Amino acid sequence: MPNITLRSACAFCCSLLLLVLFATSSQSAEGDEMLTVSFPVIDKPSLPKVVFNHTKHVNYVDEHGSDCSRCHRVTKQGLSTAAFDVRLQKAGDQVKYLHTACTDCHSQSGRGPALVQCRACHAEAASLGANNK
Amino acid sequence: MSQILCSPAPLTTKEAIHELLADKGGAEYYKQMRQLKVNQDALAYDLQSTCKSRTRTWLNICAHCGMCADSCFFYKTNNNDPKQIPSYKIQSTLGELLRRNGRVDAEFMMHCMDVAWGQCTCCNRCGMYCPHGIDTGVMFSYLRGILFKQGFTPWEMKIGSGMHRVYGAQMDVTEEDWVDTCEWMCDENSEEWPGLEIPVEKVGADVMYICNAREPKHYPEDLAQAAILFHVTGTNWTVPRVGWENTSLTMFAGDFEGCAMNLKRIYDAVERLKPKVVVGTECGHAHRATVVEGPYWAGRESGDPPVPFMHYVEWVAHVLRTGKLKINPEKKLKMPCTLQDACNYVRNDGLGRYTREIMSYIAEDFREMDPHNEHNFCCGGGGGMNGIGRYRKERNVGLKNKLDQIRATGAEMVVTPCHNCWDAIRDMMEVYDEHNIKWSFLKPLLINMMEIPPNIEHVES
Amino acid sequence: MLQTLSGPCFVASLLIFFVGLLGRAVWYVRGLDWRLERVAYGYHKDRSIPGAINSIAKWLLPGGTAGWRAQPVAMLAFFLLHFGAVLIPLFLLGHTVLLEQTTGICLPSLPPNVADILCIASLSGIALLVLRRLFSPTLRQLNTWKDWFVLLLTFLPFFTGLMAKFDVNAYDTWILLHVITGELFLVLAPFTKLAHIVLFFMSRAQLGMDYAIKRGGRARGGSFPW
Repeated sequence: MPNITLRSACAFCCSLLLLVLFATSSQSAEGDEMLTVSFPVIDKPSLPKVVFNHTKHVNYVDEHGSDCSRCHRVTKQGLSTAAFDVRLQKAGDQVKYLHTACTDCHSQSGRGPALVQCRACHAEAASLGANNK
Repeated sequence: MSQILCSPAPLTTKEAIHELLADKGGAEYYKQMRQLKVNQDALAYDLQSTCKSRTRTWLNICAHCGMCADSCFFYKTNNNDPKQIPSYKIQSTLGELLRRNGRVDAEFMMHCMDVAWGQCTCCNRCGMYCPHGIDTGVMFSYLRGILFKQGFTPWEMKIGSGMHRVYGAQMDVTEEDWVDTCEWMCDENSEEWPGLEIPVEKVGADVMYICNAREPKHYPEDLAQAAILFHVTGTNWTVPRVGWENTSLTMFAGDFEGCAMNLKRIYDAVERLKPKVVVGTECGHAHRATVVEGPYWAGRESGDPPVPFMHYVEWVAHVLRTGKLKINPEKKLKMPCTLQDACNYVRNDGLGRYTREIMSYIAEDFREMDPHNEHNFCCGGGGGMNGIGRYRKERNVGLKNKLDQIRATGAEMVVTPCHNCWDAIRDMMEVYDEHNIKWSFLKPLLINMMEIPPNIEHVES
Repeated sequence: MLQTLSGPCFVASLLIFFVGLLGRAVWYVRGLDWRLERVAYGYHKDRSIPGAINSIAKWLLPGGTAGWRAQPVAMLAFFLLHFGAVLIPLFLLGHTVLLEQTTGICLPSLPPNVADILCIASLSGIALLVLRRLFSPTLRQLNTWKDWFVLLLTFLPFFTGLMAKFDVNAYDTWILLHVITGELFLVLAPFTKLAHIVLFFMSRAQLGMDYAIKRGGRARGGSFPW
């Protein structure tokens, strides 16, 4: 019986070690235009603010026969900086609206981060804890 | 000896009982048991058809967390022997039996027997300490049934089951013996208590009294005391001619068919005599077998007996509360007293409140054991353990737990309204040379301290 | 790969988890037999329902029973693990979003720092349980590979999830492992001792009813003093 205990404990530790070794590499960023989503403004964000590679998004819509209007709306002041219709949503619904708009497109296109990779987008290092400005 | 002593068949004749009794200590019986053939197909069938989701789930989800260990007095008194952990005991017996689906040999079955009767008293205490609600005592009781059907039953239990089947009582007390003893006890005491009666087979009495065969056989004065207490409290009572015995060695033996036969005799007596209530003597397992489990063996869907059944302590609490029995304050127990909670009617039928109510009337210095009431430990001799010679050594080790509990209270008297507990306490005092602690049933204590009402004639002897 | 794992595979493992556990619960109830167990399940509802509820509720409360109070270390380990094990899978922000997007079920979410504390508490609970298993002579007698396997199965989703948060450089790897181990847990739960996720409630309710209906409920006039 103690033998089984020992062996099981060893197996337990080995699988741990394997895990740690496996999880090493990280992704490197290129010299592209990185933007931080600044609207809506959130006082105390639960997750870091969203940072995304604008260049990659521009390239994607170009390649797929679309243009800026895929994400940006034309207003009297010109092209809106905010994405989609987020400014038209009620204050309480804006975050959810934007999240759905982003993730739906990603999951339909099968490109970019999957829904479970929260921190692929929620990645602005300085934004958590610091007062949002 | 050439005859077959050990077989799966239950004993059903006087001759068979006497043959087996003649095999002193069951030496030949156990020798034959080692050669007994396990009917693996029947065993597999029984497991398939009677071991259902509750038991299988218990065995499957046991997290091996070990929380049951400390709840078991065998584990404690055997220096925390890991082989005495309730979870281990059941997993290595019933659990293994299921894993092998009955493909086991006599040696394994005898191992199961030694654990089911020699390492568990079915006190059900571990079930209270398991986060998953796994009641190992219930499973051991089930395992005993499986073992009995295959003939792997301790010698004394086999005889006990036969006694119930042949005599309708745990001992060879015939109907004539019983009625004679009733008459004898009545005659013996009617000088002191003019008008004392033990009415046999009276229809329509308020109370039908049933008892343990040991009482008429070995301590007939217990029956006399019961009669005196009924007499003094003005109770309209009777005893049945058949169905007067409520113990169930069949239950301890795992002979559940025999249990149903016991029940039928008692419930038939209820039907014949139509009492308002049935009172059973100071015996724990008799109450469990007749009142708690019994209705199910009798096939009663509601789980209730046909009329209310009371354990003796319920009845005593009732007559004390209603003033039918009055205690002379001068004669209350003055010495420090403690109370033994019998698993079978306290943990398993909630009657601890009544014994405590009684103690408040009869004892001036009542001290609880620790733990007590539902959480109390088995006396160490329950579940048939007291009676089995094969496990005497194991039992004596286990008795130490209760003795320590009693000593810690500082009590000089243990009020013990249960035959099994009474025996265990008697034996532990002898085994561990303790001569300063007394133990007693309720009846003699009550008779000594009661006030005799003016309408009851009493001639001092 | 992650798209598939977090999409169809996630839905499939959720289905296996819920259907599997439901199946075990149904099998449990259907296998109950009033004659064999000698419990009149259909009678005395006035006692049996409170008895069942009480038997569950008191054991869900730290220190709620004599059993818990008798073993404070075991109790601490169990509750440390189980608070997180129940709350994090259901109410962690990322989980609620995923659940809402894949199934439409919308649950409130925990503040992230509370979730972190719960997760660390759960991991400490697991560590305590591992130590107990390794060093208590009682448990050494009882241990089987299944016990270790279940502990590992529980440990991995917590560990990978926490690492994903704190080892940002290897985020994608940790998340991948987290999704795999999480789904492994869901898929295997109905077929291992993890089935106690529902069977705990069934078994506790059964014993509560047993005591309330048959073993003294009438005399106690209240629930069993667990």
